[in-house]
Amino acid sequence: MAAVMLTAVLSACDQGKPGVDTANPETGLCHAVVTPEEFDASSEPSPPVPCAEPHTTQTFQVTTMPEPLAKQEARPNQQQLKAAGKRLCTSEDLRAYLSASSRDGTIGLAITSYFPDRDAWAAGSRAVRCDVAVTDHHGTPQEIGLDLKDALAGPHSAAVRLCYRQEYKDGILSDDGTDVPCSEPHTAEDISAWIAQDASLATPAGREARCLPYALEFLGTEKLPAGVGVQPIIRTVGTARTVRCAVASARQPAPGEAPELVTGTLAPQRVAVTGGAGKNG
Amino acid sequence: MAEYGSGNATQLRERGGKAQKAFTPAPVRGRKGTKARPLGSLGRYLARTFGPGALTLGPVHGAAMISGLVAAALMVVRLLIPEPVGMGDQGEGHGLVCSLGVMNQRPWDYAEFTKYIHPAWVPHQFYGEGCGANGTGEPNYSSQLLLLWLGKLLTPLTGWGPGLDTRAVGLVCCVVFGLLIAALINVLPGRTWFRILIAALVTGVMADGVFADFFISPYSEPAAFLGILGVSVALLHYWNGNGPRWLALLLVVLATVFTVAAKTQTAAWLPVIALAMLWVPLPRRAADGEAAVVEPPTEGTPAEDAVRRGNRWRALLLPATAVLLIVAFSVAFINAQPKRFAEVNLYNAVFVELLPYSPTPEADLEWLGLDPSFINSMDTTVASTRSAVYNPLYPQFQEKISLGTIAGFYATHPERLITMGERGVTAMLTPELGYVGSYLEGFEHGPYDKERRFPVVLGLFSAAKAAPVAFVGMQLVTLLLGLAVAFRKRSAVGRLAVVIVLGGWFQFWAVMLNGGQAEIYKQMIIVGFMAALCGPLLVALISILASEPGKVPERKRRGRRAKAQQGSADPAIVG
Repeated sequence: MAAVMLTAVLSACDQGKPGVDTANPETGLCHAVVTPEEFDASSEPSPPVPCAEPHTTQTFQVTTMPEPLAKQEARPNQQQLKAAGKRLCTSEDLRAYLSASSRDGTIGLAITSYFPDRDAWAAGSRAVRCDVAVTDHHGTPQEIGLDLKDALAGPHSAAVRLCYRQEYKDGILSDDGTDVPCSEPHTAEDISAWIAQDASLATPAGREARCLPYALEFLGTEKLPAGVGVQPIIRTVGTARTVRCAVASARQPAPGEAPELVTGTLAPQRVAVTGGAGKNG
Repeated sequence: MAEYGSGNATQLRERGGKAQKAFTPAPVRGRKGTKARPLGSLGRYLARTFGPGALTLGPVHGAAMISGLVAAALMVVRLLIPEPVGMGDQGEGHGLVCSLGVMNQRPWDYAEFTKYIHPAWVPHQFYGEGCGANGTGEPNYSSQLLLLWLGKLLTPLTGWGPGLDTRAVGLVCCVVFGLLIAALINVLPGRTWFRILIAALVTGVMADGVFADFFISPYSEPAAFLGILGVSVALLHYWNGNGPRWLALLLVVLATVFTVAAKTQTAAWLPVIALAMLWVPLPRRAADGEAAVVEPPTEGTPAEDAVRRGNRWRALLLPATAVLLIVAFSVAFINAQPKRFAEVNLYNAVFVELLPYSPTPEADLEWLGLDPSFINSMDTTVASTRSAVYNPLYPQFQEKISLGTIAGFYATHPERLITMGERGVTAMLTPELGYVGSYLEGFEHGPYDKERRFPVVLGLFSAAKAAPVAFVGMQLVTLLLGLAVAFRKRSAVGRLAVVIVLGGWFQFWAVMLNGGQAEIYKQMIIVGFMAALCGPLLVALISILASEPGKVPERKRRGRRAKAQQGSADPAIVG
């Protein structure tokens, strides 16, 4: 009886299907990776899904493992692989894939790396797959139906842009704000210009003046459009205070009324500057 | 012989009592003559009711069935009412449970999901290395999968959704525990109430949150706990000598294989199990429950002696074959375990245990044949930022360090075992895993809150931390009393005590040498469970040693013998 039960259990075990070949990953493919263990696994062979359908990660770059690890006959262990992945899959590479300009601030993007499985490694593959996931504020990858290639140049970039939600109290907005994606209600939008606060930035006027050139660069205009204003926030970490330049809707609320929370982005659409190609492929 | 001796003694005592009554003068003060003292009466009542009496053997099916049901029901109640309690997952559960095609519904972040228990696992298709040990995809086998699989079958029937709910696994564990308690009562010797008392104490150990909470968890510890109880029952049955010997041996083999397959650390008690199986069963006891008669050695011709010796060897053939089977299985099972586990254990043995607690870590590195640069990774795990896996010379570690190297090191540095033992005992006496919660989120319990509704073992262990030596002494006493009961009273309970104590010690050192300090509290849980079983065993051993089987009145015994001969009553049931 025990033997029958053991057989039944082992046959019921579904250790995982082999999936697709991990030796030759492709840039631009989307995958449904839903558990932390899959996210952190050394290889990821789940069949790709169309990027317009719900998925959690997208391959933004394919590169090759450098030496000395590449020389090892047996695949290095998970820690060694992931450490190499951190060096090979950089945020600069990701920003290029997203067609981010120097004024685009992002939020909720996590990078992970995958490698050939043991068989593919033994067969000679040294491909490194760099994936990006859109995460919530806890770091949990979110299901999206968005193709992230050149996303920051396109019309659907709000989900990955950094915005701030400031508190309104006693008729004034707080200096700091909570980080939220611009697809959620917010009061200001980051323009990726962070400046250590000094005496010249002590007043709101000083801060706005300092941030104005960056705002114009972000908006792609020579002067501020109607209805848009510069609205920097101040972030304090320990004793360090940083001015984070941001723009916001300039509509003045009625006295005693909280400023309107907005969703979406003020960033103009532009022509993508990258092809999102892999370093080596 | 025993019957005559004890019966005679009883008669003498009765005669003495009469004489005393006739000539005893009135007491000068205090006690009132013939009036019994309340404490003494209570003691005598308890001894009469719960004492083992004559060490009778044989099943007591009715009592066993009721006790098993009650034990299972109590465990279900303590685990699920008024709210479910379990053991939070520290991340180890996925590697085992995912092989049933389910994923845990829990927060993504480690610090978040360890705060509470998350019993729901929903169907999910894993690919490649997404399922397995620590992201390597190496399959993680355990006999716990059998319990998990049964839980998966039960989950849809309980209304806990599709997939697998560890509360259903908890129910399965409770049922198995109830069956084992019923079986234990059937294989224990002595009066029914004595058996029930010992089974109740075992239930008390199991019901402590430090052990019971594992029933509702994705860990493999429940299989180990139940396996240890299963091995105990099977060994008692084997030694009692009831029923076909091959069947008794087969039960021992199955129970041992189940236990070893639960967690590899349990393989450490194989030498003890092997000795236990080669410790031939006791001679059958007389039907009326008297101690077994030991045949005196008789003089024989050399030819007869040779035949006797031949029979003895033949008697060992079957258990020896069974031992070989178990060893072969264990070797195969250990080899089938993820290589990743072995690598991490060796890493911990060196960088978490050996070097940080060394007065001369540089010299130790030299002894191990490792580059001095590894000193920078002292006191790190493989996941640390300073981990040795990032050292370009890490292949040197993989090449030179094995379990044999570690054993060799401690063989040549035995003084290091003393402090290591002290740390291990302290860890064993700290069985509560404070870094994982016991409750479901949303039940008015804070993060990491521990359930302590029945903290018998926890309380005793915590108290023993004040004097760990006393705790080891308790185990030693259990071992010595076990030997005394095994040889003087010829009871299988004594043998079981020896197996449990020695098995626990073997496992203790296996844990300390193979992994050491890394997550030591959890690793010591099974050792702690075996140590906690010394409680019920001590009660049984002391009761057996203190019992006087001959005290059963002659009239009663005659009646029982007659009934037994007629086959109309279970001879083991003593009124």
